[in-house]
Amino acid sequence: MNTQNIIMVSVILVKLLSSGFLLLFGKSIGRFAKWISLLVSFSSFGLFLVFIPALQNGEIPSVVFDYLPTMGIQFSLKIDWLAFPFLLTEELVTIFAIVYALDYVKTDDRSHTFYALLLMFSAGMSGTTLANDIFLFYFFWELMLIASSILVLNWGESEKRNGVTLKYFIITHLGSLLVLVAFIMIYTQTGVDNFSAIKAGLQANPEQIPLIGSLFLLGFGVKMAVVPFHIWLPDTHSEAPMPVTIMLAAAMLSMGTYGILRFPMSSLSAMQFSMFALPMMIVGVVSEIYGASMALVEKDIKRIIAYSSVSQMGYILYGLGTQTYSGIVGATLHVIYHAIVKALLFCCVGWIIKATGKRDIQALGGMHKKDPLLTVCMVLGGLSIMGVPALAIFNSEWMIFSSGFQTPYTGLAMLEILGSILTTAYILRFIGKIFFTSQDEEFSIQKVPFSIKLATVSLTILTITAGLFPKPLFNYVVNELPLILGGQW
Amino acid sequence: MVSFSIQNPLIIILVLSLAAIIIFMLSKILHISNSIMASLSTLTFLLMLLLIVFQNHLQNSSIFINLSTFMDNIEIYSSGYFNSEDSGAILISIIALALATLVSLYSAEYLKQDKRQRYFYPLLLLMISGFIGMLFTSNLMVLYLFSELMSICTYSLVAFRRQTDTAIEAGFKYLMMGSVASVIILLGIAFLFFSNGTININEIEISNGWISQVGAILIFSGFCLKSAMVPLHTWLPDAHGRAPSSISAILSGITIQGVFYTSVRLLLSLGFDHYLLGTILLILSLLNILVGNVMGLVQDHTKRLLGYSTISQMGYITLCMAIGLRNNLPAAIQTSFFIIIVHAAAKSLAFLSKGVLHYYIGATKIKDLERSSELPNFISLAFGLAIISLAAIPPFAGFTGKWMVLTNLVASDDRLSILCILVFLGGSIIALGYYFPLLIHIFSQIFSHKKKAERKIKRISPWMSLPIAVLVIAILYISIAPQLFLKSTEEASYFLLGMMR
Repeated sequence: MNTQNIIMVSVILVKLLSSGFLLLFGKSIGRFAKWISLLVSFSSFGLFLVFIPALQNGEIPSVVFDYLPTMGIQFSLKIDWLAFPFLLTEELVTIFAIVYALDYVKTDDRSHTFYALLLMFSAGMSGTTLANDIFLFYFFWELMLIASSILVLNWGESEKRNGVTLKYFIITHLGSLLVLVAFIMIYTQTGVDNFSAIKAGLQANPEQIPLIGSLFLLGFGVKMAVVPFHIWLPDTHSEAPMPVTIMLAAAMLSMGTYGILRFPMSSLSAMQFSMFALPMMIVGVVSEIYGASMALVEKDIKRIIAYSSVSQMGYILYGLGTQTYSGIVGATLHVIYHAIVKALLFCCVGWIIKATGKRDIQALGGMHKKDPLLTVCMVLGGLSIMGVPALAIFNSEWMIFSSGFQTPYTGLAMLEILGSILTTAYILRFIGKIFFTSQDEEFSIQKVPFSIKLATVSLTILTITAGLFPKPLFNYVVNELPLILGGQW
Repeated sequence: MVSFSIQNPLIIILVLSLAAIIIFMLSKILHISNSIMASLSTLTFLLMLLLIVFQNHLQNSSIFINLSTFMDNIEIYSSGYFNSEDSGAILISIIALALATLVSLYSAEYLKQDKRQRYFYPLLLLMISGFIGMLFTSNLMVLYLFSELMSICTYSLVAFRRQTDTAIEAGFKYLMMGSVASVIILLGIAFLFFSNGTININEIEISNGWISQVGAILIFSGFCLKSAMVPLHTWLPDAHGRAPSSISAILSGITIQGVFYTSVRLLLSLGFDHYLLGTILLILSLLNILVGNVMGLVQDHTKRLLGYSTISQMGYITLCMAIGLRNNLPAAIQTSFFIIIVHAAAKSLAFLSKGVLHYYIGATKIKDLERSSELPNFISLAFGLAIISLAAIPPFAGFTGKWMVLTNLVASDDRLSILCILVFLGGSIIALGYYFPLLIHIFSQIFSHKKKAERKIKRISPWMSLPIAVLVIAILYISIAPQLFLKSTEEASYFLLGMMR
């Protein structure tokens, strides 16, 4: 076992172990729990960065342990260019969520469990992206679900939390089960659970491709929360405490995209995958328009941004469905940009709620005079999600839109672009109502803790930087293409 | 622990029965206290467990050889009546003895308030000795006698707290249904004896006429009732829900599965068509999964809910067995044994920790679980672990079982496998609907707002926490290293398939 292997295992293990440590001994060191978790999230991010040089040299670092040799089940981890964008997203979002939580979650008798579960949630996501065999993938996939459910269950913001968690758990678990069935159908073909066997297993039985492919797409579609599987999302996102919402919306939704890219798209050729292309594009456009329309009529500000996620996931699914160079790269870039911008928007929403104590958009107004800093951040975030040039999302949206015209379905591409007007509409309504209209009913605002401001402002800076300098990220993301759809580009 | 073969299961049966008599006499004459009786029976069970596990090392010791020769010399108890090579039976009796050890340890505190402990330990010992006899025997009459010994002890143990009406009601219901089953089994044995003139299982030919076939079917249906196959399951939620938790742990954990194993082994060695048997079991298993899971949704008593969960888990066990028998797949039968192991650990952990909650804070309904904050978090975590394992959520033991079930369903080219997959997945989703509220109620307390100082935490007696800790470790161990258990289950599956004529 060389150094590289140890580092790779510790990207996950450092989070899992410190999570266990906090769960066991957190009571006595309760005050330091947040600092420990911040340190852990930074160190995990640092450990992950170590792999960039290796990846650029064309290496594919991997680790293998035997788990159930008689059944051909191994524990193996691997990092390649396909995992890279998602791992990056997830590690970054974890840091911001923990920074945001520092002052948001008040330190009390149980706050150490909060941080422990947050780290476990994050470890689940790192494990999902790093896993190189289906057993381990499923293991971490469910760990993610369990940790996030317990977080929503115990730190949910209203009395509805039990029901919301039940709904969240059962619907996403149903999606996971579909994925599990697909996994096992492939696994029984080859008897090996390594990812490399998936391609072989699928190619050996071409008549099973429609069934297995649709199981994968349905299963991961539930996690992505595209219409009609979005029903768990608005409730869960509005119920969860803000740091968890940031993790859910910015990082966990992208795991569905990762699943689609990793399984059906990397193991099928473009020809074989083309049967799923049109349904994916249609569902993408429907999600985009539906999510945006719901965001336009929703009253609760947290739910507005939650529905915006449904809409943005529509863009991503559409981009993947086009099966073009710019569509797939655009969709992957959109995952990263959406994570940054969505984290920023939720940070702002959390800020508004913390400052005013109100969640109803009707009751808010005139915030631009009361909090100029928040106004700047929110406006930049809003402009960014609208796809205004020079801000993060513009680049990826451009690519996704342009990919639409490379397919025969130009009508859908037009709808996709026209649908983005709705995004503009709900963001303008949001910003206009909350910040720039006067409110008859005067309300005072509380002082907002420093960590919330820190996270929001640094995400704003990141949004601008990512928009102005897309080149490095773009260069990294392009490397995933040889792994997808047979690699013929 | 790879290959088992007990020289003579009769040694275990006799020791357990003798211990029952001795403990009863001691309590009658010397009035020894509950904890001493518990320790004695724990010790007996533990010795027998070690005897099975380490019998390969003991085989060559002179005492053991002398004892076996002595037993063989007594004609009526000769080893000819027992098939000591049965690896499935060995596996199940190891689980049973391990659970019995833990349960009698647990009862030292759990039964402290009861007045009639003097009857408890002898009944438990006799029940296990009947159970082991039933598992190993290859003679129909001996089978009947031992299964009756087990059943009668079970009836009395279910109604152990006879001061409560519910216990009497549940015990009486169980007695009534169980007696009908016994009569049916006896009738079946009579049919077989009438047409074959022998009661030795290996000599009976059931292909010689419809009377034998009917006899086999009658015996099978009798055992179906005793192993709570839907639609003959109605006694189980009552019996397991009303019995003392320690007894429910053993009844739900292994007894039902042992009876099921015996019936399958019996029919196979009688020469019953394995495809037909597999088909019957398949239908029963799907019914079990559906009824167990759906009825579980509407329960408000934790123990009744666990009873229905046992019914659905029996469905999974039967499903794998059926797929294995229909398609001659050892891997599927192996899975069935693996689920038996996992379920035994998880279900008995659930019942034992539930027993602690009942004993200290009187929690019977699901919503009472919220009061678990009065107990150390350890108990809630143990209960949660058991439930998560039963719900087959990774990373815990149940998930490896679920993975294996699905693998077998997909791998077998069975015509019905699509139906089975749908029922299995649907069942596990429905099951979440009742496991999840349990988790919500139990976990919402662990992370409660209350400060530790405000929580008046009761101390748990080590008699109770030790068995729970052992089971928690067992589940974690199965989760981390299932490989070890796969070997012994593989052997059992090949043995069972080898029994087909």
